[in-house]
Amino acid sequence: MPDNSDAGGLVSLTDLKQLAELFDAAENALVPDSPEAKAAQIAFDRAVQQIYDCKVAMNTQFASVAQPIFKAKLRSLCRQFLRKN
Amino acid sequence: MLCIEFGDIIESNEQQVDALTDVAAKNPDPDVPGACEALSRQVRLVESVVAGTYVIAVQATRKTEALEEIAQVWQAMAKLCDKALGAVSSLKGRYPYCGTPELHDRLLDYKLACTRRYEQIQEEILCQTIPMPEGLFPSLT
Repeated sequence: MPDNSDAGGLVSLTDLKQLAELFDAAENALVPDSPEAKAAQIAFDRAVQQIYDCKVAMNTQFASVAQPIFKAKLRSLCRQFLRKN
Repeated sequence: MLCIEFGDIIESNEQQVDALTDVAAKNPDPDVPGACEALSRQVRLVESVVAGTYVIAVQATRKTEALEEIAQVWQAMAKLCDKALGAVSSLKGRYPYCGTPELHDRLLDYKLACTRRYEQIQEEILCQTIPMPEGLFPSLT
């Protein structure tokens, strides 16, 4: 069977899975300002920025997508991913 | 199965916030024996109510697909925090040793969390109207 675990767009499914885990730990923390939630939020923000800088901004096809829009869309995708998994 | 609207939960829990003002009105002098204990009890109850409602909000929004509904939940939750903050703000000067400053700080943390979530959802709602170039994101269908 072909391994399509990394199928997807410039942002891969593997990227999305990792981001969704961090998003879940930050956004869905039962105590919003717990150290774990804060750490997850920092890690999520950093990971999004890294993907944007290394993949999106470097690609002429996608460079017009502003970072805040990119991040908001990723948050929505993380929500969808978490609902389905 | 019994279903309950989030707005009903908020409405019910607002009564506990109102009770904080009532308890303070019945115990106007914190130096009178029992007054601070009575107020401290209600302070703990308000904190539990806000924390418990926050947990319900998290669980509800995790399962909800419509971003507008998620926004409504966080807006309602922020409103509950505002109401509780309004009540405790007027009391913390008079009852500084009855847990009111600590409750005020906790409520600010919760309010901040709710507001941030509400604002982020608004960004996501706006983002739905902006076309994304194909090939940027993976498909989840």
